This record gives sequence, structure tokens and C-alpha cells, in this order.
Amino acid sequence: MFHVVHSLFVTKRYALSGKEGAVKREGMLASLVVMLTGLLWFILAGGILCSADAAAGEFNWKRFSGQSIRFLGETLPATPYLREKVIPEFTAKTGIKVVYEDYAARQLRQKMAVEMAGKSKNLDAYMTLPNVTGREYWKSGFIEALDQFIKDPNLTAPEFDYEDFSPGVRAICARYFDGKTGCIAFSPQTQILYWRKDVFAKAGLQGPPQTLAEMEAAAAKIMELPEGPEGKVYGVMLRGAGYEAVTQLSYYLYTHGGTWQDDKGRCNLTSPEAIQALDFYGRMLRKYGPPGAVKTNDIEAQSLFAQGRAAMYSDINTRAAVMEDPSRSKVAGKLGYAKIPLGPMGKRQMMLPINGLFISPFSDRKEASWLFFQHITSKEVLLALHLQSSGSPRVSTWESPEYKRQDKHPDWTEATLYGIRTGLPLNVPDVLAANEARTIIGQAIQASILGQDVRRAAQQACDEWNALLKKTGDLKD
Amino acid sequence: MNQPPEESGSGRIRYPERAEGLAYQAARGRPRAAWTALVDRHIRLLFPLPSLLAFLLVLGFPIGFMLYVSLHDWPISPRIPSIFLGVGNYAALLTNPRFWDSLWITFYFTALAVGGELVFGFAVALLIHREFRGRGLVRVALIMPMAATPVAMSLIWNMMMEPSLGMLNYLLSFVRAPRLLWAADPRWAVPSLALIDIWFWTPFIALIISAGLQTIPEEIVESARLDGATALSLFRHITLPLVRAHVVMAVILRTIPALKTFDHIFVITGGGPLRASETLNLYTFLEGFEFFHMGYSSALALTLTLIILVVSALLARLRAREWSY
Repeated sequence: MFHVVHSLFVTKRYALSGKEGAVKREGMLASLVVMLTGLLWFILAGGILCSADAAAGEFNWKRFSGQSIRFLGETLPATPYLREKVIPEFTAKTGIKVVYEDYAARQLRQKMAVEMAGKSKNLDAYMTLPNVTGREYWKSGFIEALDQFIKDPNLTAPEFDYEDFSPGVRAICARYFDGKTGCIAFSPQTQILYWRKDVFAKAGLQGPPQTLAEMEAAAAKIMELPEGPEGKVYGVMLRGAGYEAVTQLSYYLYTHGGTWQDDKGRCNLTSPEAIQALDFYGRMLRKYGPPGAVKTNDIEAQSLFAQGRAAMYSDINTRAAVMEDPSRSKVAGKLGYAKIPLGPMGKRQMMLPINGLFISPFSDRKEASWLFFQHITSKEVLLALHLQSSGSPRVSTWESPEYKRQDKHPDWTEATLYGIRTGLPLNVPDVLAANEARTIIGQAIQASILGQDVRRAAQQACDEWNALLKKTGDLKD
Repeated sequence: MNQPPEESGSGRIRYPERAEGLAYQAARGRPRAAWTALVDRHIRLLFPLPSLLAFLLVLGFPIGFMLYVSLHDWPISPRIPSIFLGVGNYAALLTNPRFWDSLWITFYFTALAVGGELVFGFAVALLIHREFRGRGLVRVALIMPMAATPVAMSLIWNMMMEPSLGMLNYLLSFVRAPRLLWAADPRWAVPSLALIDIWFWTPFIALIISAGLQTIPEEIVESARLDGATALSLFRHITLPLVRAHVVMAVILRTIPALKTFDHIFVITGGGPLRASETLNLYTFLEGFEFFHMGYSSALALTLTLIILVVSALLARLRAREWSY
């Protein structure tokens, strides 16, 4: 009861915006009257503000000063910068304290589920991939719709400018939540090809491969290079651990002309195109990848490539931040970036998973979290992160003269931007139990890497996945 | 106050004032109520009651609740209602080949790990049983693997087993042995994990058996030596029978945790590749905390508990058996 009354008061104070003095008396009736007055004022003021743009520059960032929010995030290349620079800045600007915890993506999902199941009031906001968990979380009631915040000029600073987010990423944040906006995009993570200029030159290869066939030929040629003093350089590095590899397979699958599901929604991994893609992915790692690739997860693949163990690596664009940091990478300054090579049909299909920021419906401090989101996705912060190869969802970042002047890797910009403009949010299947589907499809990828019968593995995966699709209601007979 | 108890006429012991039961004190001066008599009569049940309650709270409730959940389709979201399935989850589990695979992998892992630990543990125990300089130091060093944080150690093992950069293959290259894929090879995944378990827990078995070795009377060994026993027959006919009880104890104490091993399997293989190292406990975890099938996962967890109970009971019988030497 206290919470309800308290939240009434708090809401009212926002509405009155600085006229808290009017609210002194306790008691339900009095507070109701004041609340209604406040509401009226709020509607009027909101209307005036919207129409006249009068409040520009006067947005009150301090109104939730003293609150403390807890945020669960994924460990990203941008995390150190967020922790050391962005969050202290935010606290100085708003007086809101942020407890920022970060975990690897998979651990994050497990932790999230446990906290959400307990309706934890202690967790205010979090980061997750909407295309992996969006549908499931929305159905489970773990997501607060953000439209009410975005539309409210009292809560949203005029400079935030949601329209500045690229239409593609805005569509993803509205895709899984019954038309509502469930998240704010933080970092789009499209896939690009990293290639080693020095190794390619040594092997007598010109530039990055343009087609998948060229990619395989380049990998084969690099494998023939004699072992240098720093050890063997393998042709290619991709994620191999089944679950983690699924998102990376998606590009090769669609570029080969395959799809996750057929037009009726059934598993389509047994189609000739999908078999071809599975076979290509597995063969690349088996023949030209480091030994034991079947177990390499995303972080291990990143480390192996940063250690200089492979000449090509395809993974999300944000890993460039690590690769170009000499304290974390032996290949800094030796890399070129390119789009994923064209498939056998002469086409390529990019994917665009994004990391979204979400607010928990069980939190009592939603507004403070919303201010936090506005700050870490502000034009300034995203530009700063972008200059560290983090990839911004804002159009203005890519077009800013500052970025164009400082852009050290135009090839990275071109490849990433291509993904952001043309990518589909299908790096995992768009189904309710996407996470579980991932583990099933991962089995087929691992079988292919190990050189087992791809057709049989795909059939097995489809049998298992179709059963799951029926169970979750994604597939009607 | 602290007088010794005195014998009353009726032969019952009367305790001095402070030690008298609360119930009796409360009833003093009034005719004894029926309930106080009841309390007095059952006082031996009353005293363990708090610990019994604590036991029920920390053990009975979770197991009872798990049983309850296991009979339902139990989604993790508080918004979606659960559906009663009866024994549906158990039926699903028994007909799922993945369950039987994981059960087999659990036993395979346990046999390899506990078997290896027993052989190496016995060898180490015999080694540290002899007098030599620095024996104390060696004993302390032995405890180190057990004292280390399992997850941190698992991460280090994971690095050492990395096929292209790892330490183990580097060492193998010195003896010109072929490079191994370790946990990245489906055939080698369980043996690799068992190897790590052996590293962790061999000292534990060594310490138990070494305690057993110290109980063997010197005279028996000496007289056997005088009778001309070789080292081998000494081991077979004297050492082994006399520490058998310790060996069985060590095996029991290791088998139960080995059946439910989680940490290093989760860190190193996560059950892969191709589910080759997916033990029952790991499968339970994945179903519960990766896919949030709480009902099915609870059924799995209860089944695992039951299996561990049966195995412990069997091993305990082995311990109780009278050994003929």
C-alpha cells in the first residue's frame, strides 16, 4: 500500500515539476485532489511543450537525484569506458547512482531469468539481445514498454531525439513487443570479415576475398605458409561451440540462399542451400581452422585471433575495439575489414542483432533508469564509443564530421554501415524459444565441424526443433 | 544452586531447582495440568524439535517443493500459470534418450574419476607413508588442489588444454606424442574432464588412505618381513586388507560428489562437444536455467537425488560388510 501511495506522490512531483511545495498535507483525499490538478497541469504543460518546443535546454536532469539504480549488462568491448567515464559523468549530471554489473551474454541471461522470476525490485534495468530473448521476456512480463517515457517531454530531454536512431534498429526494438517499443538500441552488432594484411601479403594474396569460394581458396593458401617464429597461422577463425556459432552461421546460411524456417514455419535446415551452408561453415573450421575449433566460443575465438593465430575471422563488428588495442591484441594495426564475401548466387545477406536496453517492470525507479538510458545512448556518448569501434545505432554519429575526420578504418565503417543498413534481425530464428532452438541448431554445426554426416545432423536437428516449435505453439500442424 | 541430584524416596532422581524442566516449574504450586504431564513424558521428543524444524525448513521444504514443481509444467514467469501434469514430467524423462545418454555419461565420468583417484591416491599415500626429508612439506603441498577455487582452476585447465596454444600439447611435443584435442574431441571430452577431477581429488583419497596406513601395527609388518614376505605379497596380504575400510570410505566420499560434479564440466565443455560430456547434473541445469523448464528440470533433479541415494546406500552396505582377511 505504501508503495502505491508513495508512487502517486512521486509521479505527482514529476508532474508538478518543482512545485513540490504545494504538496505538504498527507491523506488520501488531499493527495487525490492534488494529483488530479497535477495531471491536468501535466497534460496542459505537455501539450504546450510539445507544440512550442519551449523547454529546450531546460530539461531537469536532477529531479531523481539521490536515487540508486542497478543495471545488468553484457560484457562488451565498450564496458571499461562505460564504467570509468560514462557512469561517473551520469552520476555527476543527475545525482543518480548506478550499480553496473556485467556478465558474458549467456551468464547474463541465466542471471536475468532468476532475478525476474523472483520479481526482483532490486534490478532496475538490463541489457539483452531482443532477437534472442525479446519474445520470451515480453510474454513472461519481464519488459516495460518505453513509449510512455519516449513521448513524455518531462522525462525525455529534447536533445535525445529518438528519430535519430536508424530506422532498422528502431524496427527491431518494436518487433517483438506487440508493436510497442520494448528497448533502446545500444550497439548494433553486424558481422564483418577481419583479415590480416600482413599474412595475405606473405601468401601473395591481393585484398580480402570477394566470394566464399575465394575465401576458401585464400584459407587453403594461407595454410600452406611455413610456420613462423610465432607459431602456425591458420586460415580462418570462426566460433565453433555450437550454441555460440549459431548467430555466426546465420550470415552464411542466408548468403547461401537458405533460411532457418520454411514459409510454413517448419525447420528448413535440411534444404539443399542450408546443407551447403552448414557444410561450408564446418569445412572451413575443420580444414583451415585451429584444432579443437568445435569448442571455441565467442571470447576464445576473439582471443585466438587477437593472438595472431588466424588470417581471417568473421564475427561481430564491435570486436575491432579489442583487435586494435595493442595492450589486448598482437594484431593491432595489421588488420583490414571487409563485408562478408558473396555467396554462390552472387548475393550476400547481412544480419543485424542489436544489444538493447530494457527497463524491468518490477522496478520502482523506472524514470531514473530512463534518464540513464538517455545518457548512455546520447549523441555524445555514442560518438565517443563509436570512435572506439563500438558501432553506433544513431545516424548522426556516422554522419558527424568529427567521426569522418577521425575515422581510422574506413573499411570497417563501410562494412559495418552496410550491415546496419541492410541487416535482418535473424541471426537466430525468430521464434519464442529462440534460445533453446540455438542449442539444437548448434548440434548440427558441431557435427559438421567434426566431419560427420551433415545431412543426418541437419535432419536430427530439424526433428528436435520441429517438436519444440509445436510445443511452444510457433508451429501449427 | 548447583547441588548434585538427590535420590527421592520413590527411586526417581530429583534434580535441583535450576535444572528442573520448564514445564514442571510452570506447574509448581498448582495442580499439575494434563498437558504438563504430557510434556514431561515426551520431553525427549521435545528437545530435538528445534533442530528437527530447522532440518525440515532447510531440507524438507526444498525437496517437497521440488517434488511439487516436478509434477507441473512450471514456467519461470510469474505471469504464466503452471499446469498440473501428474507424473508427466517423469514419463517424458524416462522416454527421452537424452536422459539415458546423460545418465550413462554420469556413470562413465564417475567410474573414470573415482577409479583414477583411487589408484593414484593409493600410490601417493604409500609414497608419503615412508619417512623422508620434507615429508611435511609434501603433505601440505598435496592439499593445494583441494584448497583452490574450482572455477578458477577449471579456467586454467581450460587454457592448458587448448589444442593449439595450450601447455599440455606443448609438453606432449617434447616426448613426440601426437597432439591431442583434449576436451574438444567428443571421444576425449569425458576422460579429459575426469583427468581434471583426478587432479582435484587424488590428494583427498591419499590423505584418507595415508591415515589408514598409519593404523597398521609395525609388528605385523615386521614379522611378515621376517617370514620372508616380498614387497608385493606384503602389500597384498597385509597392507591392502588392513586399510580396506579406509579405501571403501574414501570411495564413498568421492563417488557421491563425483556423480553430481558440475563446476569444471560447466566451465570447460558446457556439456559438449555434441553433448558428449553432458552429465545428468549438467542436463538438469540446462533444462532449468537455460530453457526454464522448471517442472521437467525438477523431475530430473529429483531423479538424480534418488540415484545418488541408491548408490550411497549400496556403497554403505559395502562398508558395513564384514571383511574376512
